[in-house]
Order: sequence, then structure tokens, then C-alpha cells
Amino acid sequence: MTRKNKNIVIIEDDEGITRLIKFKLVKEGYDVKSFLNGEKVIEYLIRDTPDLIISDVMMPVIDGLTLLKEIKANSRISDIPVIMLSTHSHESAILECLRAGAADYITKPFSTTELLLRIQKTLLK
Amino acid sequence: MATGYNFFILIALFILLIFAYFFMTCVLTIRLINHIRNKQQEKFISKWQDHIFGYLYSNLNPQELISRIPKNKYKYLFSYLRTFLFNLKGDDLDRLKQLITETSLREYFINKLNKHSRKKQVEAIYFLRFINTEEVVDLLVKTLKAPNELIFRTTVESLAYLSAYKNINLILDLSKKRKYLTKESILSMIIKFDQSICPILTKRLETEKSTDIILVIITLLWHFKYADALKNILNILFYSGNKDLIIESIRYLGEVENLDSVNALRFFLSHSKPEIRVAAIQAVGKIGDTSLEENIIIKILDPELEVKIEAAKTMYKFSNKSEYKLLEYANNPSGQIESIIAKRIIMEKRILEND
Repeated sequence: MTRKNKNIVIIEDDEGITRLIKFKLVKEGYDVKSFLNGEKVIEYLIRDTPDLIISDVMMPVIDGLTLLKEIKANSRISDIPVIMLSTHSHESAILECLRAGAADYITKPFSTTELLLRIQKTLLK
Repeated sequence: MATGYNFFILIALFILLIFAYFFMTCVLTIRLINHIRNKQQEKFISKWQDHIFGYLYSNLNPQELISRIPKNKYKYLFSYLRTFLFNLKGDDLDRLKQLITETSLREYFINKLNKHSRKKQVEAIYFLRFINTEEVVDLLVKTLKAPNELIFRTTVESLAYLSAYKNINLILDLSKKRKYLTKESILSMIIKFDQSICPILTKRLETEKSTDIILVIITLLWHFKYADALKNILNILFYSGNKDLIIESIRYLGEVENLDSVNALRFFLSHSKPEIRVAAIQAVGKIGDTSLEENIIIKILDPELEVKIEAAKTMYKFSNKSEYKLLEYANNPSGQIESIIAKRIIMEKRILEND
């Protein structure tokens, strides 16, 4: 029952994908907040520290990798695990995100069941 | 004279005004149509989203969901489904595919293939890729003959999705007839197939006359690292005489480590054309065969600058001896061109490594 009431933030510019992930996570008992880009996310994360972040890599305004680095550089929020979601499946792109501090990396196309399992695993760490 | 001149200016201004008016009307109409379409799409999503997501995570019969959605809302449904068909896999994708394969949408798309509207045809061709049956493949093959570029391209992509690789020769034949297709665009379509196409492409190399198509085929064989094409590629390499074909064939050799490819590369390292020598050096660097160590080291003394630079790049970490030689050139205070190149390459490589 540990997963109940856990807060998750989704940062993804595709509204359809955001809505689907949100639907799945809410159904599983998570509280979810979503952003279409990373512009004002840092302020929110400092104010309402969530338990986990799911972030797309390719986004307008601030890309996911830059956002990840900003999160990891800020001591108030650096402990929040970040799962990256991306269409890039090259090893170099995955390693770059993991080196920058991502807790996990999921490539698109993805399965929402797999995403859910990875979220649960990350939250247990 | 002055009156006539003023009259022409007035006429010109009037015509300009009419054009400006029509232009503005067109822009506003397009914006209005897009606005209405977006609003309708949003309305569709807010009404049907939970039904579609609910269907994904339940045992609901797909036909039951489709029969609830009015036909005049299908265009919004298809637009919405595309995002998920593209981004999802596993059980999620299978459930989505059932909406097309196990419902009345299947017949709906098949019927749309014969419509006059190109937009509807393209839409049908896109969605038919999720129905893997001989009937659908046959229908798509017939659609290949349509002259329209978008229809042709979407059909090829759908056939690739369905792994209908046996049609690859027909696709290449039809691509040759379509003058608007460049070799890059042919490549971008066919690369969507998997490596099952390689044996057919290799066989085609024996008879194909078009240089562009041969280039496309060699690039695909290189992309799929298909080693069984080596014999046919070596034939092109030694008998074609076409610079582009030789360079592309050499690039292929860089992916296939074999005694024949090493011997061919040794030969082409001394070719009269510098671009070909550069390609050969790059291929040697790729396969990393140290039996060609001396052949690479000597290339830093090549008369052509681009060949010297490529040789220096390859010498770095190719073998202990080549790297030692490169350092030797870099530490030589003579100010010779080889020394300057060696210094620059070592510096660039070290910066990249530290990054």
C-alpha cells in the first residue's frame, strides 16, 4: 500500500500521452500533476516536492536533459527520482541521461504497464 | 501623358487591393477552419477520452466502443488514435489495434481506399497497416500504382510495417518510374523495412542498371550490415568505375570484416581519386584490421590534405604503432604539414574524450 497517495509530476509536451499516463496513474491511486513544458516546473517542485518525476527528453522551451541537470543541481529537489521518457533509443542518449542522474530511462514506443512497474520499482528504492 | 500614367497607377493599386483582400480572406478562412477543427477535436477528446482509455484497461469489446462513436466523429477519433498508435507498444498497442482489426473500422478503411479524396485514401492506407492479412497486403500493392507521391510513400511505409518484403522489387521498379523521387527519399521509405529485404536486394544487384537504385541498395545493405552481399558488392567495386558507387561500396566494406574486404580496401587505399582513398581509410578504421597498419600510417604522407587528415584521425588509437607514429609527428618541431595535422587531431580527439 506504499504507493497510495504518492505524488507524481509528468512533464511531457504531448497532451495525449500526458493524459493517458495520468489516467493510468490516477487509476492506480497516485496523485498526478502535469506540465506541458519545463518552464515553471522547478518553482513547483521546490514548493510541492513530489515523490517522482516523469519527464520527456524532447520538449520546447527547456529540454528534458537540461531540466534534469537543473533538478540534480538544486539541493532542495535533487533527491526526487526522475524517469526519462524519450524516442531516442541510442545508447549514448540513454547513458547521457543516466549520467546526469536519471533514475530510469524509458524509450518510446512504451507500454504503460511497463512504465507503472518502473515507477513502483523506483519508488521502492 | 500624365493622366494616362496616373490611370495605370490607380489600376495597379486597385488590383493590389483586390489581391490583398483575397489574401487576407484566405488567411482568415484557413485560421477559422483550423480553430473550428481544434475546438471540435477538443470537444471529441473531452467526451470520448475516458471511454477510449477505459477500453484500453478493460475487457470491453472493441466493436462496442466503436459503435458508440458517431461516424461523423471518426476523423477526430483517427487523429486522436494516431498519437497512441505511434507512441505505445505491448498490450496497449494490441488493444488499440483491435479497434481497427476487430471492428467495422476494418471495412470502413478498405472502402475508403477507393475514394477520390486523397486525404481519405492516405488515412485508410495508414490505418490498414495494422491489419496483417493477405487481403490487405494485396489491396495496398494495388494502391502502389497510384501516381500521387503521398499515397505511394504511405503505402510503402504501410507495407514495411506489415513486413511485406516480397514486394520490394515492385516498389523499386515503381520508384524508378517516379521522377519526383530522389534516391534519398526512396531510401527513407525502404529503410522502414527490416533486414528480410536484404537477400532480394542482393540478388537485384546482379541485374540493376540504375546507378541511383544501386546506391540505395548498397546503403540499405550497409545499414543492415548484411555480410552475404559481399561478393556482389566486390563486383560493383571492381567493375563499375562510378565514383559514387565505389565510395558507397567501400563504406559497406567497413561493416564486413573478411579477408576479401581487407584485400579490396588495401587496393583502394592507393586509388588515384583522393575521395576514394579517404573512404578506404575510413572503412579500414571501422573494421580496425591491424594488418593494414602500415598502409594507414603511410597515408599521412599522401599529397592530398583531406587524405592526410583522415589518415591521422584513423592512426589515433588504431594500433600502438600507429598512435606512436602520430605522436612522433605531433612532437616533431619542423612545422611540416603532417606535424600540424597530427597535433590538431590529437588535441581534438582528447577534447572529445574528456567531454
